[in-house]
Amino acid sequence: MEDRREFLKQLGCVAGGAALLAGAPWLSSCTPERIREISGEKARIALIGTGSRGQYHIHNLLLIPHARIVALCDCYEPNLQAAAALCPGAKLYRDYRKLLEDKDIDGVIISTPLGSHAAITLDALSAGKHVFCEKAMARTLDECKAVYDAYRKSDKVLYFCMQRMFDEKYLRGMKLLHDGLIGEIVGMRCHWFRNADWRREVPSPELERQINWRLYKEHSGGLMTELACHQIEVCNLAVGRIPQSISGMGDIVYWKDGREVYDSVNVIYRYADGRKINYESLISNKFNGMEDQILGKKGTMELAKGVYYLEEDNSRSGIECLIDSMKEKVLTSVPLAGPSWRPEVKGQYIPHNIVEGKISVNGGQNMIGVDNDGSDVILSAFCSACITGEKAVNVVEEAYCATVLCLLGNKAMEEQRTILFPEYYKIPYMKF
Amino acid sequence: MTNPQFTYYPGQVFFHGSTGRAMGTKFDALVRGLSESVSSRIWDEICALVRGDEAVFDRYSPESEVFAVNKALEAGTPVRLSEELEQALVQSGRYKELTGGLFDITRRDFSALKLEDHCLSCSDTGTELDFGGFAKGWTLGRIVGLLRREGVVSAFLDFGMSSIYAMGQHPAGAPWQVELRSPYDGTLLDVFCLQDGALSISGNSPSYSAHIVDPRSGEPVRSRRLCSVQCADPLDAEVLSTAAMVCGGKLEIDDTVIKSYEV
Ligand SMILES: NC(=O)c1ccc[n+]([C@@H]2O[C@H](COP(=O)([O-])OP(=O)(O)OC[C@H]3O[C@@H](n4cnc5c(N)ncnc54)[C@H](O)[C@@H]3O)[C@@H](O)[C@H]2O)c1
Repeated sequence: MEDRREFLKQLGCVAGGAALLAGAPWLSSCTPERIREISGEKARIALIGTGSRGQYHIHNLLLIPHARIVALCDCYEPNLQAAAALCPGAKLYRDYRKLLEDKDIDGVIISTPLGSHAAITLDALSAGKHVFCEKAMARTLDECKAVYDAYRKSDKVLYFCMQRMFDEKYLRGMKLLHDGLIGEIVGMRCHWFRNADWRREVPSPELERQINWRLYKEHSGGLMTELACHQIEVCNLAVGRIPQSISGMGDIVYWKDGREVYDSVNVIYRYADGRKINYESLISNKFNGMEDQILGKKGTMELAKGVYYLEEDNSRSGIECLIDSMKEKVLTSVPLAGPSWRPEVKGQYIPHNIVEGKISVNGGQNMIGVDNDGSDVILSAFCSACITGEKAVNVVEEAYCATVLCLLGNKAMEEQRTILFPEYYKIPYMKF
Repeated sequence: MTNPQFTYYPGQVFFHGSTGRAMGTKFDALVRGLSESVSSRIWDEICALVRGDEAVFDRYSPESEVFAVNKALEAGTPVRLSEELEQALVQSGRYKELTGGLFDITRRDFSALKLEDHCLSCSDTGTELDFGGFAKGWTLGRIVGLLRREGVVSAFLDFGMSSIYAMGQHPAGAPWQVELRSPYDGTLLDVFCLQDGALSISGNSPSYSAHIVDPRSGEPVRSRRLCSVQCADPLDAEVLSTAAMVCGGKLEIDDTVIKSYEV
């Protein structure tokens, strides 16, 4: 948390801070000036859905000076009580509609299963609350559209938890990409590998679908909405375009335990100019971990690790250069290795850090969330917006684009065909 | 050793030999002034020599002598050493003294070893031999000897572009030249001119760190540093570059140029 505060403090004043803001206008609600303007004020925040992610948000909220948790709602008593223990004094609700009637709440944070995101978001906006909802945006294409339309009409603040938009290494990486560091972007490869079944223990069988909601289509879009959503959003931001066609294959390869969602997906998103996102996720082997890899003509950026590599580093090995210079009888000084070259290192690429100093890297194995991945920053921005009423710039649009693309990925896999982005779901924000 | 390769350049009269994977890295030789058939024979001899040294020193290979010696030390049984390993062991004892304990092939307490009548034993069963910071320099020295005996006067020999011996001059008529860059950001740290001399680089990089252990504390060296050692003998250079890393670059030895770079 401290590190992120530092990041926020610096936003306005460090070299490149203003430029960062120019490329990422959605940061305006968390600049030092804005936080100074609202100092002493507190947004009255309620949480709907206090399972694992809801409780993770509570831990972050407790560190945000301009937030106060005033109410909690969950329909599953053990989770409600666990959250209540973290927030003494908060009012407890079992029905979110009752909570929405509470006039002393400025904003709600929705961390319920995907299937209920749209209904609760729409109800909360109509009830006059500012809303922060977990990603993905909604379970179906039509729900996404309904939420987007409601957002266009509403005067309330709406956020979806697209935390990579608030993660320093992603932001600085995007700036470097857009400044041309790795040349023209020619492709993207994103993957998320885990070796775990995604299951939670169920105290009694009738709770199976409620607790293991991720495994059932009624509540969840599987790997695409749970994991790919974040990564597709990064690709869209990197190229500033939306893919035009989508194809893929999805299967249940290993976890044949009655689940309905795929445990293995390979989806290709193709942009109008032929560039592609190659997306892969598999949850019965974790060797490759998680990465958002942007391929440029002059280099490669791995945003999750916060590093980039330049093609020219790898152009010729020292010995090859030396042989060239011997053939031409021209003296050149050839590059040494630091510690000696080791066969297990891929190529001879040198990793360069996107952000100086210590950064947190998400290996992608944790289901709840990791520290310093931008989740705290986006939450802080939302709480500040609950006080100022400042709308989020591009956050809903990005969540809409990413979610729709994930749902179209599922559709392409289910129908086993290449899908063109449907006209009906296009919004003016999208450039193809 | 995997997949050795040999290329002869008749126009410029030199050969390039490359071992593929060897001694935890790879070995390359550029040797000038020999006919193709002599080059080919000498390259085969170099490969045999490298293979032979791998069979002695590679502590990860169950077929190696050091592996067997370590097993024996673990079991507390005395073990007879080959002539080469015995010489190497005696030599590493001298390096321990020369560096005031900064270099220690046991990585903890060399003095626990006892060598008597070509047999090695140890009072402490946790002791292991690790020639990782020694063997490349040793082998390089033997290859230099082989080439000298064949009358070679110009060659560039290198293990993993970090343990180097340069004989004579580059075809351009000047000393061989290599440059050191930061493995973190590529900035140029130094340029070395080599003629009948050795250079060894030791250090940490983003992808390979904390692999050198301080024998005095048992702790890995984690500093973002590289050390270079330039001197006449490749084994001296190899050993002293590790010792220099252990003491943060603060090492002084006669007729040896030791430098440290914070990166
Ligand atoms: N942004 C991220 O990186 C990230 C990480 C993890 C989870 N998530 C998202 O957070 C959401 C929740 O995931 P989770 O792992 O916390 O799930 P969870 O099952 O642990 O928690 C969901 C909670 O919502 C409650 N709930 C369900 N329907 C409700 C309703 N109608 N009213 C009130 N409470 C209700 C459940 O009882 C449960 O306690 C999902 O949308 C998930 O995708 C996002």
